[in-house]
Amino acid sequence: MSILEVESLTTYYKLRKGMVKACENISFSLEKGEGLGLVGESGCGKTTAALSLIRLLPENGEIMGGSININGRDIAGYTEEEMRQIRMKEISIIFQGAMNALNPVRTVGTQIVEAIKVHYNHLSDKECWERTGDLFEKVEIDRERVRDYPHEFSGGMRQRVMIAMALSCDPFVVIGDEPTTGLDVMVQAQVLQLLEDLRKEQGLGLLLISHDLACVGETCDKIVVMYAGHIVEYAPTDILFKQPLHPYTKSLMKAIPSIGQKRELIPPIPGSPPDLINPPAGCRFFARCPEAVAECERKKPVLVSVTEDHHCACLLVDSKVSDTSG
Amino acid sequence: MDDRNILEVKNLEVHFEARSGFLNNLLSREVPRIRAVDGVNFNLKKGEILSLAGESGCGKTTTGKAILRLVEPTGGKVYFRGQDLSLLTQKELREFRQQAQIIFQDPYESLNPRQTVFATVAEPLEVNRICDNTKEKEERVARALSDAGLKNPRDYFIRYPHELSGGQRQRIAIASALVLKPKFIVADEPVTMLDLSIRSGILKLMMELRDNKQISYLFITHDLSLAWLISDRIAVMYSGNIVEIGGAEQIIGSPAHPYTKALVSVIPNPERSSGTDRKLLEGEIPDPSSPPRGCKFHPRCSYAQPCCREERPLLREVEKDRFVSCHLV
Repeated sequence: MSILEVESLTTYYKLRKGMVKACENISFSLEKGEGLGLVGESGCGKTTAALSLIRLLPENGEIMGGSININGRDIAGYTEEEMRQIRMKEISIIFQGAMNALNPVRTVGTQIVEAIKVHYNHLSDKECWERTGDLFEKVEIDRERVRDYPHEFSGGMRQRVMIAMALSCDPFVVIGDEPTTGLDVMVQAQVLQLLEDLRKEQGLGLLLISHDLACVGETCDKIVVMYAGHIVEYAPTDILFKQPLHPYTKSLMKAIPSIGQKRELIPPIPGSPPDLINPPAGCRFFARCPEAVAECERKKPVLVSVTEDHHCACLLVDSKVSDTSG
Repeated sequence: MDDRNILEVKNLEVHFEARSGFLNNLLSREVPRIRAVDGVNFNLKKGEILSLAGESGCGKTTTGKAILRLVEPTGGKVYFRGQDLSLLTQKELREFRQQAQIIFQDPYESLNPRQTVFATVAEPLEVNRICDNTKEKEERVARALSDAGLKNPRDYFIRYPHELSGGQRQRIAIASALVLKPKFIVADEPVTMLDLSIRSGILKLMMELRDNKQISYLFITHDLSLAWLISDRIAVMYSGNIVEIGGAEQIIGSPAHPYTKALVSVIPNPERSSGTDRKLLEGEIPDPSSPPRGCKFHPRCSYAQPCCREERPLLREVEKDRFVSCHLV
């Protein structure tokens, strides 16, 4: 059984101008020890999806429908009190800016001990600190440094502290929301390696959210590509890279500089993503799609299985599939 | 000075004084000096794009700023078109700054949110008291905007930054650099904050400006794949020094310095199964106020020999136009 199963998740934001349809009909599943990448440009709804999972949406955000199954229980309708029981303990999150996510006037140790105490109130202070030290060793920081303040750590180290905090109550699903954005290439590689090791050693399910397709491709088993609030393609990493089907995925792939081949600048995708208050009636990528046909403007594509685990939402792919099967 | 060079940087040094505590002041203890840029040498040819690559804290941005005298160098010389920049008078410095511009990383922060696009782009003209007449000013602003790749430039005049997308904002920032018709631009991570799909538009624009207006660039980036994509040459910096400099294809294709090798190996490559040939470096860059003796990279270098701990390597030419500072190369 999957440890996390998301089914038709739909989240909107209320604005005075209307509803922002940030995230619609998102479905995916995550197995034990698996890494799933959620990729897309800014504003595509990937962070909204993540915040919906852990129920940390801003006040004007609301889950409109769908289910979120963690270990077989649907948490989409959980109250805040019920959520507090499982946050950190079953599902936790590593935020992007480790700089802003830690309290600057308290030692990193006290902040982690605080989280541990919420869920393990039978532990004594000494045991909590002991546990924090162990966590530090797990993320390859000297255990003595639990008494240090956030400013005494470098950016990469601070992100490791965030990872230690996310792991503090033994969750089985960890969401990384752009955990390496803003870090250097070398530090990024170190942090991604650490996450991968933890995943393999502890059977942690990792949901990695990133705008960087190359870096997700290197660390995850499966990839979900999002565009303007919808999933456009969902497939195992190697299949996605070998045979991308959706025109948006294809243009994203082309935009990755391929070292060692010919040096050339790929033309950018023209235009910009649609307004999500009044999204277009048909395919949301229509206006920017190089392969679009007239039908795409009116008809909404649905996510269909091309092969058993390769899913794509594109009318052109859909018609090809029905051609061969019919 | 070679006529083909627009810029020559010789032994550039920027040392900052660390802020010292009250007690240290009282006891007049020595203030630690942070060696942000510690002897950097390179030339930039006319119409060339040179990338300065390295991790944060290696001194690449400080080098860029010191060249424009946005921070004062504490040592070394910078020659711009043969002129020693340290000897400029205030008036000459103003003139130099018309020819040399900088583009910053974050177009969400570098533009004043309360200024219209016109006010932002026209500001350099006003500061330098170029063209008093409104019509001419509008002409020049419109031309700069269209040079920056914005169609119907006059439609942007009364718009504010919040109405624009990230890519458009960066184009506005580029337009305000172009309005003074510069010959040299320091581009400090100009596409880092932008989405992958619009990056190439900005990079392409920069290359076109180089071809059409002979603008030379110092392109500062931590992303080696980007450096490879757009530059003629790449200089790799580590802890205040250039460790390797040479043609972009050569540096990426056959890196010589162990640090460059490691950096090249961690460029994300989805076609490689995870972590197979990545050379992950241990530890972090040294404290710039007390760098290690000998080669600054030796504590993290897997090839380090005894001599690396004692003697600091110099940048030597190992083949034509390829310089490396490593004892073992």
